[in-house]
Amino acid sequence: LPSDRSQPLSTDADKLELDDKSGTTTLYGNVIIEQGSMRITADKVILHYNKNKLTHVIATGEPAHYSQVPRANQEPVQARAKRLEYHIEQETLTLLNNASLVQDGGTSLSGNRIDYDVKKSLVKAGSDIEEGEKRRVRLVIPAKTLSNQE
Amino acid sequence: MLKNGLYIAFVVTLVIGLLFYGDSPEQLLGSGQDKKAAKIYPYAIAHHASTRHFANDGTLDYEFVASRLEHYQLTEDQAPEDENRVYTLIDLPVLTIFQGEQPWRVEAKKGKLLGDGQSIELWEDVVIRQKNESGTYTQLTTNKLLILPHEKVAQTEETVKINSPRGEMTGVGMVADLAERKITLLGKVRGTHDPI
Repeated sequence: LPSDRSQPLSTDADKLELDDKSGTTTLYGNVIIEQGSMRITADKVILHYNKNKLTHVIATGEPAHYSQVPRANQEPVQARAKRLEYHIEQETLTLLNNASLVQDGGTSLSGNRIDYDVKKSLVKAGSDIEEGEKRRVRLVIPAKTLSNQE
Repeated sequence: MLKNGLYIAFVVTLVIGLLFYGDSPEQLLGSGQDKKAAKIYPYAIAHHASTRHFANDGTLDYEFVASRLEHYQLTEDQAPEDENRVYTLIDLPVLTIFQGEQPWRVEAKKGKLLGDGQSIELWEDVVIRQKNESGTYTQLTTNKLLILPHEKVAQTEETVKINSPRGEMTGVGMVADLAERKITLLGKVRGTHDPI
């Protein structure tokens, strides 16, 4: 939701490492990050800071999950990948390695790399990835959504 | 055979009679409680103590201040285990560890300097504080802490709360490497961070 950004961010994990020199806080084990309607669950999450300002979040897992309600009365967007990169300022989410994303209405996209613009709800998928096996992009639009649009 | 039996019975009765007649059972068998521990007194007391410790290159390593020190040197009777014989109890200890630009300040209500002088136990309102470059503070609070001043490491198994510019975090169990500016919370981590 647009108001998510003005909410406090809460973290929950088994273990934490605050590293002042590298400007990171790393959370390990059953990690849950929540901010308003945005929720990330992962095995490990690194919060990157620049002068104590959070710039981006990197979550890794088997897979890591992301969900967020784009607008009021809409279904949350659900995304999964082995690696999620959430860039705060740009409000963009990059999904890498076995990535998939399901939007309101059930339209789903999968591939090796998905870029999602949280503010505009725009999705771009590709398969350019260094490691992991190459996967073609796959888009599935449920029949119901198609008939609504005719 | 009968004669011997009678003779033994007679001797045993005689011995028991002597023993119990001469001494009360309590003195013989002990009072059944531990002997009242001998009262322990400090070997030396110091008020408003302050010490400064320097690294090999002459730079100030850490500074230690306390309002009162009670130094104890116990005997083997008073403290069977060797490592508990020599120690110093501390009131209002303040330890300043110099590391990089900003020192760490560690304080508590009570403390104990262990015999080897390599570690200090702190308890009651333990606070670790460091001023950040931006002028804000990182502060850790807990009930109990073990400090290794030479290694510049602090550790505890208690609950710890961290307030820092990045938000507030709590956990159970901690190891803080003050030299490397790395703090690890070992369990049950919760955090809240300001809106981004």
